[in-house]
Amino acid sequence: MAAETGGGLDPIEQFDISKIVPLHFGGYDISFTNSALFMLLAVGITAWIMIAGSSARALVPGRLQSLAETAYEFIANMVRQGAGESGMKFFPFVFCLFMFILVCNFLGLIPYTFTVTSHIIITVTLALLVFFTVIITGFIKNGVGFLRLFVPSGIPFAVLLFVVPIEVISFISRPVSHSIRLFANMLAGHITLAVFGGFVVMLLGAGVWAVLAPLPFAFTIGLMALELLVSFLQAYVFAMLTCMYINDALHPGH
Amino acid sequence: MTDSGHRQPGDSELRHRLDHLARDIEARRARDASAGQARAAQDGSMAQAGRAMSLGFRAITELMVGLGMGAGLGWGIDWLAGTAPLFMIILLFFGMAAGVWNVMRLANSMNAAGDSALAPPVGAAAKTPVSNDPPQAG
Repeated sequence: MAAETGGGLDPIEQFDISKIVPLHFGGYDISFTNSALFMLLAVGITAWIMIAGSSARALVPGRLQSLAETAYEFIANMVRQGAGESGMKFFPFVFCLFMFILVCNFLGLIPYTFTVTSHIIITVTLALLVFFTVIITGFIKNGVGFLRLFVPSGIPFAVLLFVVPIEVISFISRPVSHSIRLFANMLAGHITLAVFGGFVVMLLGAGVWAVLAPLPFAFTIGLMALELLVSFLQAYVFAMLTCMYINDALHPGH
Repeated sequence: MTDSGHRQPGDSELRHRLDHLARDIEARRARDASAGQARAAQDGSMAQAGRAMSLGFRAITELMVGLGMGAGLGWGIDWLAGTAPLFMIILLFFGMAAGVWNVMRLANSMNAAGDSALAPPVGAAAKTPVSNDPPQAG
């Protein structure tokens, strides 16, 4: 039985990367994997929602159109409040990030799918993208003035000796916490789901104890609802922090 | 109002039916309202738990990452300069301070923007969240 051998009940197995189309180029393995497949799916779904949703241009929006409009207004508000009106130049960037993460998270909640955002390499890439966007934009917009970000105004020189290293460390640690938060939330959530799902299977295979199987099953349903919320919240937090960091790049010295 | 001769029901009978209908509608409305309220309360507590969890997680990552980043940077400088544990110890403390500082900033932005700062209002995934207010960068 599967429960004894552990085969098929491994909660980590769902994160395995499998090659669908093996490809090698110049000594690098650039195979088309299940991760790549679900990234493409996420992009495809987002593109479909936005293109199909905005093609009708009805005055009274249908379902798809109101979904697209809600997504637009939600992110636009977030960017305006987080980074100000001048931050709207970065609206496409934040919108892509949010929709990509959100759709990846939601796709991953469907059984038998792969959760792209549960791999730290993906979230680190996204966070570094934000990090370097902030640095480059900051120096282009403000020149050396961008460094004022590390020097709070109105502080005596002696204290600055301590404050500046702290601010620098806190700036450098941004992409790390930015990426770990998303990755760890998705990873932990999916492992918990798999473990409780595994309990159901084990109890069902344990003779009399099968009576208890509905308990972890009910818990799994509750967890699923929580995970749905976490999926949305993490995408929201990621995008919101991106807005705040972009705000730092546009208006340093606050 | 009705003028169809012999099948016209009596006034009292009509009123009785009307009363009956009104009572039915009232009962159903009350039931729907209480069910909706219960569901909303359940959603609310779930959303609140999720938000609190993600807020706690945010705070702890800020703290840990600050600490780890300080230690890591110090170790890197030591490795480059060959000053073994000196910079690692110094930057470990700076990293700790940075972590605490970040958590304090997070808490400040929470206070400034009210409870809903971390997340949009309850159920915003479904509705148009116009009124959410993420904290301004401090």
